[in-house]
Amino acid sequence: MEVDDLALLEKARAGDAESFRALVVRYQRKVFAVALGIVKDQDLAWDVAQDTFLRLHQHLHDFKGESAFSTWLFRIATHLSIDAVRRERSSKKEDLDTVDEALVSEGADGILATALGSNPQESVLRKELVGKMTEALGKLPAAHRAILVLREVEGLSYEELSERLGVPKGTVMSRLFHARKKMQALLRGYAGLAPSPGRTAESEGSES
Amino acid sequence: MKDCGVFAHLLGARAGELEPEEEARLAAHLGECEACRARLADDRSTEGMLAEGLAEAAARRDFTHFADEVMARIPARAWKEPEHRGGLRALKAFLGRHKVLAVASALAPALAAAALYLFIGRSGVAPEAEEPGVEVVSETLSPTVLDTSDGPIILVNDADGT
Amino acid sequence: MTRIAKVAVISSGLVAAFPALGGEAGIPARIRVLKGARQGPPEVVPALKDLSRQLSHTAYLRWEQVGELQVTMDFHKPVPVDLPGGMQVVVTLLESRRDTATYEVRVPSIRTRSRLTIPKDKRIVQQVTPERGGEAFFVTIRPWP
Repeated sequence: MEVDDLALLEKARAGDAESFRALVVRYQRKVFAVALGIVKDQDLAWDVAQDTFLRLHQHLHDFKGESAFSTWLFRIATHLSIDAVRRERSSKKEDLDTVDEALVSEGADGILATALGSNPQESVLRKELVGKMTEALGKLPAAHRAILVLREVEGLSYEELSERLGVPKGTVMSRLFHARKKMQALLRGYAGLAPSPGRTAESEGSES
Repeated sequence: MKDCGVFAHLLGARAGELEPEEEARLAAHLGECEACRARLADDRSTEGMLAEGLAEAAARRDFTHFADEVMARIPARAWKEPEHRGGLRALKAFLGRHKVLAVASALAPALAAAALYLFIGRSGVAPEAEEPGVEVVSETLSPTVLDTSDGPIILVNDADGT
Repeated sequence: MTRIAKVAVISSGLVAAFPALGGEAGIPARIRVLKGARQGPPEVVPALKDLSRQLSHTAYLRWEQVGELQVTMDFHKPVPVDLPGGMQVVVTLLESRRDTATYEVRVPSIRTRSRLTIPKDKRIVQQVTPERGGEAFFVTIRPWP
């Protein structure tokens, strides 16, 4: 019953509007989700998602099958999303790889994992936190949003991220680390788990 | 802190992303460092939440007309002629009912063959630019125009409907 | 309907004193979104009294107003009008001469586009959704309301 992406693509290339429309419908929400993660704003994400499919149409004949069709499509989406963010961004340059000390507290490691329990997929807390994800993402700087989306939604490897973002692998890994750390700090806040300010790292027995 | 500064960045690696030697050193460090094990646990427990959160936001939004909007931004000439689902039949019926000047596609070469182009002038002849008029172009529906003393009413019917 | 609520209501008296000469300050217009239904006792809500004669030419018997915006439209600047259910109609003022105004009304979801020229004492009524369950939505435009 499911016509595969490449079959639809072939027919769209041959001029069949309904096949192209079927591809749009098949991927519209996923493309929107990727865009939303990077650009934050829902209406902007909608426009970027639309532009992604228009760009797809303009480049229908460029896809050579070196990757899955969806990979190619998401690549267009993230590219346009990052462009959109660059256009909107204020000129303030953020030094992304330093940690915002107010936001990230030492001694908080493991609290989230404990709260989510031994079966995190099932926990009620998890559902609540998932509901807060877009809000939390919105609080991160654009480059952190982008790298998290590229890693966790588009699924890129360190090597692919390095190539896509034009930074060395070490920077990719450290940027991801800091992005995740901030994200987890925000989630702890939402879950009411943030350790109170001034608390020392007394729980880390094996650390000096 | 022990070498956590170095190893913490490696915690997010997937299978095959680290050199075997890096893997081994990370594994050794984890054996000794509770803080890094805790960080790893945090990463694991929150796996997939980002993608899910975004998918949920996308699910909440109404996409009914997303594809229509995309298609509307692609010129009709990009596609092969779609089948006419009764559009031409309806047009002929329409022409029978109203005083209509049907402008031939010669005047509008940019319009796709599937578009129905109708121009209705109040006097039934080719109107000047100032003449009040109604022109309706639809690729999917057959419009009916009622010219009332209060102004025009444009009705649309499904091509297969009445 | 939040987008409609965000559009400022312009005092039509002041603007009507300066009818547009094409390319200058726009033309005030009143755009309303209506729902017509075939079933039920014929009834036109009081807000639509002024349209009842015009609407009586259609097969729809019951009419209600579901949205309204009063806006001064600049030439060639599309004005989106939200319909219930998330659809949109886009109205653009194209030109005007003496006392007529020409609008384009686009309904992307049914791939329909109209170009309508109307004098200042008349109103456009355009259906913008195909009939479903005996009901359909319309927009009405009146320049210099």
